[in-house]
Amino acid sequence: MSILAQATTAAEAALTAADQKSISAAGYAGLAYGLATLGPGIGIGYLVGQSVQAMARQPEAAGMVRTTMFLGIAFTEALALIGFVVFILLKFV
Amino acid sequence: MIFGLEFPPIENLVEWPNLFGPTDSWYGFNKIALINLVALVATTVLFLVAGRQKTLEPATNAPKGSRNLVESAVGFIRDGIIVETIGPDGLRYLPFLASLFFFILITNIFEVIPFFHMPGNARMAGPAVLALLTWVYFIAVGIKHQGLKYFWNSVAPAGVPKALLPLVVPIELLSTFIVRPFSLAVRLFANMLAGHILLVTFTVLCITLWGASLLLAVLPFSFLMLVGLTGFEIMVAFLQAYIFTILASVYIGSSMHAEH
Amino acid sequence: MLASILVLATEAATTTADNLLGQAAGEAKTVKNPILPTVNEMFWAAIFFIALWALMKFVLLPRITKVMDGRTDKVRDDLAAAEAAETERVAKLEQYEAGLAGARVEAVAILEASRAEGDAERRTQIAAAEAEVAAARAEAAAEIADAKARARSELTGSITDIAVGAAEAVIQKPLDRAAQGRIVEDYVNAAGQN
Repeated sequence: MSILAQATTAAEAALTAADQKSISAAGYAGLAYGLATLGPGIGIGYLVGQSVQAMARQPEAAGMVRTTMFLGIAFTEALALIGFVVFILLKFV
Repeated sequence: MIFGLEFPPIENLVEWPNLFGPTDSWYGFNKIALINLVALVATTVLFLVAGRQKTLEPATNAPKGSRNLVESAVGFIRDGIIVETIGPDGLRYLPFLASLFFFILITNIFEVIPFFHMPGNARMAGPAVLALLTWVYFIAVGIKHQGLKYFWNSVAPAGVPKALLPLVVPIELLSTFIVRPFSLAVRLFANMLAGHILLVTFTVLCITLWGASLLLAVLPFSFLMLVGLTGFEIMVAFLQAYIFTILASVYIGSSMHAEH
Repeated sequence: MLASILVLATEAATTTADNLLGQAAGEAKTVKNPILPTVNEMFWAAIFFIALWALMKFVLLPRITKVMDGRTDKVRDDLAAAEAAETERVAKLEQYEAGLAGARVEAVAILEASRAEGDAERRTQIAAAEAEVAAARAEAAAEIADAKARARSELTGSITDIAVGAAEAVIQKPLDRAAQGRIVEDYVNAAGQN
């Protein structure tokens, strides 16, 4: 760890404009991902809740409801995952 | 760096050196390719072992062992995915969808297998290839069933007023031919990458805590979390294989008949 | 796993340091995008997946589905056979029950006939016996009446004789036997009626 600490101090002296940009991007990455989770979180919660209600009302239709529920989750989740990809792009690239 | 916790850069998590072949060549064979090869070999061996008995067993004997496993999985794909989303006339796509399911499931499950600890689909290559093949496959099915009219049928749903067509056609074009394969690939890739990063995070945390004398008390919680997440990732591996397969099935089913 | 992750962590530390040092020294470093697919991995994934697809289509899946379909057919045939056997059983049961009901009706008829026959027989025998008894009784009654009449006439005669004899002895004079006899007879008759 001591080597790393020295390396960081040595590097800090020579931060270029590109470095500063990537640091601020990394800072916003977390924000972007946090925002991206909000909508899909609410969406999946609502979707699964309604599906459970439907299954409780009509247990004989549970198989069909479950399949449709997974499809819906897959579509809703895509937004959160795109947020995650943006996070990776901001953070590591 | 927080309390001496140094997270490795993402290249070190997902990029593997070639086992043979020069770096950056088009045929460099690395760990991801090895995992894909294992998925091929494992599925083949499993099916061959399960199918070595070619005749029907005596009436008293239910399927057991590997045959039971494979028959349950095939029955699940057939009845739980194809019949539910396409109907009985979609059974001819069973080989493609079963290959998808087993290939994705086994490459995913390497996330928690010791000495590998890398989901094959946490690299974009695998999901991209599979999504591209699915894309080609459902377009081919559409052309086979509806001819060239398939393209018009899929971008202009029946029942839409003519005045709205200039608005609907670009949206449908985008969602059917661009967003579909893209979201298929990204969903699988991002899920597996997120799971991998999660597991690595907790592992690195455990290792760091092992060295930190004061924070050693937190280690059991971190380790329990790691164990729990491993179980969760097994579930995710299965779920993502299921979702990829069922979405491919839905796309193929939607190109078989014009929407009405 | 712990060992490999440890190695990774150390590598990470050194590469980060190297990167920072290198950047500080002004070296240009190409950063690979972790999102984009690499050609070699796509190549092998495509090869292996298409191989699996072909194997699945022509070798692996037919064996499994053949047996599964065979089992489904067998189950369906067995069910149909069981259903046919059930129908047959029900038909046989109905037939048997119909036969049973016929037999029962027949038995009842036979029973009734024999009972009627027995009744008639009994009735005729009873009638015959009654007639016989009646005849015997009539005969006996006739005999009794006869004996009674005879006894009465004998009695009347002797009573008249005794009474007339006694009266003649009392009054010392013969009596009109016929007239006295009528009186005695009337008396005896009146006594018999009492």
